[in-house]
Amino acid sequence: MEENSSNTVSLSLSQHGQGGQLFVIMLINLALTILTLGIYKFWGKTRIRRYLWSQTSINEERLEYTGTGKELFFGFLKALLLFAVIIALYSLLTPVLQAQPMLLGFTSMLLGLSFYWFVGVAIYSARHYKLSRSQWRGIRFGQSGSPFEYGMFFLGYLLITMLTLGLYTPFMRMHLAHYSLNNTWFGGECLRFNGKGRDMFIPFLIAIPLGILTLGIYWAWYMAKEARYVAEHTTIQNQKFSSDYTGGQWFGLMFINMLLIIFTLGLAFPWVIIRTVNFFCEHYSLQGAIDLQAIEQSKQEAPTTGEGLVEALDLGGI
Amino acid sequence: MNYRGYYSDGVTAQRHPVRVMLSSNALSISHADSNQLLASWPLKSLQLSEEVYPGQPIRLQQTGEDARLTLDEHTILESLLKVAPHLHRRHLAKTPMGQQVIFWMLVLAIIVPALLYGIPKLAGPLAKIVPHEWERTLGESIVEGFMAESPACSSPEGDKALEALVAPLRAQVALPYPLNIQVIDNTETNAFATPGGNIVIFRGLLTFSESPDEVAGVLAHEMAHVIKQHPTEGLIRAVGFSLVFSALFGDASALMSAAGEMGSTLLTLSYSRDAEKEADRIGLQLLQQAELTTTGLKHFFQRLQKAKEELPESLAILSTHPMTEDRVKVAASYINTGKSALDPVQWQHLRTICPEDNNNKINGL
Repeated sequence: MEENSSNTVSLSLSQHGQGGQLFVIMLINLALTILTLGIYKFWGKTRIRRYLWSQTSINEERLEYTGTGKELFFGFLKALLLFAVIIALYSLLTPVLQAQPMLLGFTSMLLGLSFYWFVGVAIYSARHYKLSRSQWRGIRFGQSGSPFEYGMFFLGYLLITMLTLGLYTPFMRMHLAHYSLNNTWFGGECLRFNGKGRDMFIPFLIAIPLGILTLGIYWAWYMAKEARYVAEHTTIQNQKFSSDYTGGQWFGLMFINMLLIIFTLGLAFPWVIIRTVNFFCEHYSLQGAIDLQAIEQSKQEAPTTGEGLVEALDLGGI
Repeated sequence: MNYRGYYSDGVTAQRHPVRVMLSSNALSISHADSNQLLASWPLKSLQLSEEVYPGQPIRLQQTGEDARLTLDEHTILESLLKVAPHLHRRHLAKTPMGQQVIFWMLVLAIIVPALLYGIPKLAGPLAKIVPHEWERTLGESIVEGFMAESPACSSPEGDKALEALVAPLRAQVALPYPLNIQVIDNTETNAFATPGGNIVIFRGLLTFSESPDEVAGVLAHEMAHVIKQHPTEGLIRAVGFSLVFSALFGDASALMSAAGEMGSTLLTLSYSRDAEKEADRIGLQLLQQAELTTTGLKHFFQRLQKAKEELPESLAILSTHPMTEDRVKVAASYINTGKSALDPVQWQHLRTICPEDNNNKINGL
């Protein structure tokens, strides 16, 4: 794909990975993780990411993951230290607080709420780390905004959602997408998202009874609709993204993934990952064309250690 | 020789078609159309950006820099590896996949059984090198955890009776930490020892026991656990197993890791049978040395055995202290020479150490 320097280009995604290759990586990771009683996990995760990123290409140029196992390991240690301090403080304060039941109740509630704040912080910092360690053509991705602020929003929206018996869900999802997408960068270029929760409210109201009637299966159709909506309301250089998968296709992907995992007792996990990445590459695209020469290297500061909170809270994922 | 590729300068997302020349100490990269020299990279700081698989473009960079050179053809690799052998590490195309799978499967087939066999063997020696201070801190936090649910019991006469029961046994052992023995207000029939010399007796055990000698027997058994550092050993074993199991199943799914959790608990339990036998033997010796009767423990075991046959689910103690014919026989084989641990008045005081309103059932037993 030749690119003339004065012209804009369209972008296309493709995936080149093979389940077998990923299987070998995971097998080696497993052996080394057991041998090191778990310490290798962080290096193994890095190895998997480097493989997945380097097997996904935009316009025939592959993505690149530049994170290291050491960064993930130190991030994890930092998060452990943080939790140790919190637990120590709490157990020091408990005898004092036990004298005043009101105060004890208040601190326990605060601690319970802060857990969800931590989940929000963890999600956003993990995303920050991953984006800052992702490159395409030597240009870094990045994320602005603050994990602590995102954590507050996450907690706040979650409380409203609970108080409204779940009716706030589409608003919460769009507000959070708004925060993270509008803070997502490729080099000096920022994504723009202008989706509104109210646009997804009617589809959500329809999805509730249909979801109950179909034992949750209809949820796949809602998710596909939401993915389409989010993609079409996200732009880079004023060009819209698009997602064209249907609820049926999404359900099919998830259902077959589940069958593969169950009938192979988890051995098919690498193939499931590759299938899923494939699916996204096939169904996401950019509608217009963009000027790559206008995209310059990011000047953002990147975090120095990895997504420790996610590991410590065991929120998982790749 | 000339190679064709693409170059991104790390400043913009544009990429340029380039021609690459390899000399003995550098790669020179020049624009394919204008022949303008874009970069000259010393080989010693040259690095493959990721592992190379068959059919995948090769991506090169200078260590720590953003600019990237991508070559679709692998032809450059052979000459490159000759002049820059350090690139070998990420060049994977050499080893066939089948060989790798077989090799690492073998590694797994060796290390998993080795660890399952080795961890219990290592737990004992490891327990000996754990600092006593750590054991004490850990033990105290475990006991505190229990006391949050069931408070410790104390009464002037009860405390005296407990001390009278403990003193002759304590005189027989030398431990690096003080023995701390407490009764907690919990109706389950159980007793346990923690790292660092804490022994917790549940009120339910006092209720279940028909004589002070049964309690003395159980106490001697728990003290034997403390002497042999079984609680510390058990914890090390449990942590070791759970590490192995979580490494085995950690990636797959929550379901698998739950299965792993169960597996590690089961294994810990099955190993604790050996520890129980050892604690029985040393506990009985302790009773003899303290010149206390051993019939209490024998009697206690016989009644547990009977309870197990009649109502297997009713006693919590059976789940952590598996009862077998064997253990009853061993307890019965000791020749009884000693005296009773407490007089009837002291025994009544010990049984009522917990607050009055919880003790109604005692006289009925």
